[in-house]
Amino acid sequence: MSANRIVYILLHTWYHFIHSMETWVDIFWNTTVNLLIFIFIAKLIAGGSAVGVEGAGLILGMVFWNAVWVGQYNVTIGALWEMWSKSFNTLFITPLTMEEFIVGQMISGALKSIIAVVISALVAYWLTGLSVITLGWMLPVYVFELLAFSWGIGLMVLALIMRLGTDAASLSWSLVFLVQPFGGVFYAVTVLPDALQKIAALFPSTYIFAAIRAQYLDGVLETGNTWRALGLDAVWILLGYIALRLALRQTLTSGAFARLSE
Amino acid sequence: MEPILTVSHLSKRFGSPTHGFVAVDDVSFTLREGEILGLLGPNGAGKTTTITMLLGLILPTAGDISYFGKPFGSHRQASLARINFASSYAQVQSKVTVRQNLLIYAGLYAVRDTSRRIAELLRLLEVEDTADQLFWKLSSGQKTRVILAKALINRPRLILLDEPTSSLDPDIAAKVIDIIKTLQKKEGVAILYTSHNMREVEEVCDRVMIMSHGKIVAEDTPLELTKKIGNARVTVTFDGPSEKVFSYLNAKQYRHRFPRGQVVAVDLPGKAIPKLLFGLANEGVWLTDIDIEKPGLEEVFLSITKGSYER
Repeated sequence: MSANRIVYILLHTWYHFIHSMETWVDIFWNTTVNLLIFIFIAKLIAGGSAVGVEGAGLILGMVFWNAVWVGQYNVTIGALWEMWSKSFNTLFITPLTMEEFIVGQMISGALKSIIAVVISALVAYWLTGLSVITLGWMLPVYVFELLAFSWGIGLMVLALIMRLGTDAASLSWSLVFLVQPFGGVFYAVTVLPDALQKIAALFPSTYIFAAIRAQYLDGVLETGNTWRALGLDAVWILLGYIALRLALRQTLTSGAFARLSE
Repeated sequence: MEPILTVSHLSKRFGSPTHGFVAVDDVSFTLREGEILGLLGPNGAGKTTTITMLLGLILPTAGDISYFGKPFGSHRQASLARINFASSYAQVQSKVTVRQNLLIYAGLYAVRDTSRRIAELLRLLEVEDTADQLFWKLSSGQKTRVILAKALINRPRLILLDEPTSSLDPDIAAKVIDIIKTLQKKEGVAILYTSHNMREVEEVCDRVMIMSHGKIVAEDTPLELTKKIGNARVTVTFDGPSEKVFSYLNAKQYRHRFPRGQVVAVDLPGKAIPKLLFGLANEGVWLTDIDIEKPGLEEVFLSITKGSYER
């Protein structure tokens, strides 16, 4: 793997980013507007200007959900922009490998995610006084764990897009939302039916958001949940990578890879 | 001289062994330094599948590809670093400027002195004024030239060019052809060239391969290929009665027809043309116009698509 080529993929995503209003809107506008809605709903539920404990859980969920959404979206949309430009194949007739391309997209996604989380956190602090800084040194740990989960989902979605072609592009911004109701983002998964709790146990987000709420709302550091999440992150990334390699092999054999840029 | 590219028994079958189809069938050829090899064939002949396999975008079902004497499969990155490709279906990022795109590709190929190389190529292809424009805003001719600049960015030893002059104005197309010839002559670059413009192929290529139904059905220099097609057509306009002409052609057993009153078209081998013209003149026929159509690659191509070509 060449660090030099990864740097050029990062530069490529930057050049694209500065010229793409759509990406700005998707990443910063949508995340901020969604957060505003959650803040005002939280205030409505609390019946006043303060958001209350449940409201704080909702807002924390939305602030940190942006790390998952932006990270995942960037991995897949980075490839889709190339496919739509008919330039995906052009990249891979250079010495660039799929792994270098993906790592470039992951790093780029991580940077955008961090910016999205920072903006969301500032908006949340400004409107509610809720400060994620109180999470201390665990804050980057939580963000990293959520990003790692987003990369795992991103790899799986990219594998699906490779298999199904650009007709499946909408998966890029929709599939991750399957995680929201079952992944403990806004509420503890104990409210879910038993069968769904078993599904929730497979998502790292379940443990990360539980740990964030426990630390922020109750002052309890749940290191067990943090470790469980880290282990599951590794499994999701590994499964995503295997799915991507299988999809790549299949599309290279069937000829579909060459048609991804048509 | 070591071949730059060696293709041995390359085949590609799509789909299942029972219901699939063979797109490329046991294709073998070599390409040497400084050689321009034309790859021709009707639509669906297997040209694009062959090229995409050469670029590693499709895995072959059987056969081997070697670049610079080393197997492509196990030396993929080293091979790709020394070759390049230009085609209308392999573009660059549309929402990025021309200069930024070229900078990225220069980086991916680890090109040194990037800014100078980019400036040099933009000047060579006469697209300096597009440098800071977004790629999608360019005309198709400008896009083709930028793609060519991308294809030259790493100073490749082998370039695969698929319709490199399509969508170019004739003057720019001629300039691109000149650039290709210069690269071949001065730098010894090998080129695999596909085009539907037969005159261009005849002008540029040292050797031509024609594919049909996945197989190479003809391979030779353009001149030798056209020789195999055989007859030229001579159309003669004359003064006076046609009986004298008719009886002379019949006596010499020339295949002919009279499309109009005092015009006769004769099909005959190229070397027999002087004999025909002198023969008619000696018979006292006053020739007022002579038009000679020698067969070109176009005719070779058409005879292959009609199935009348013999190797």
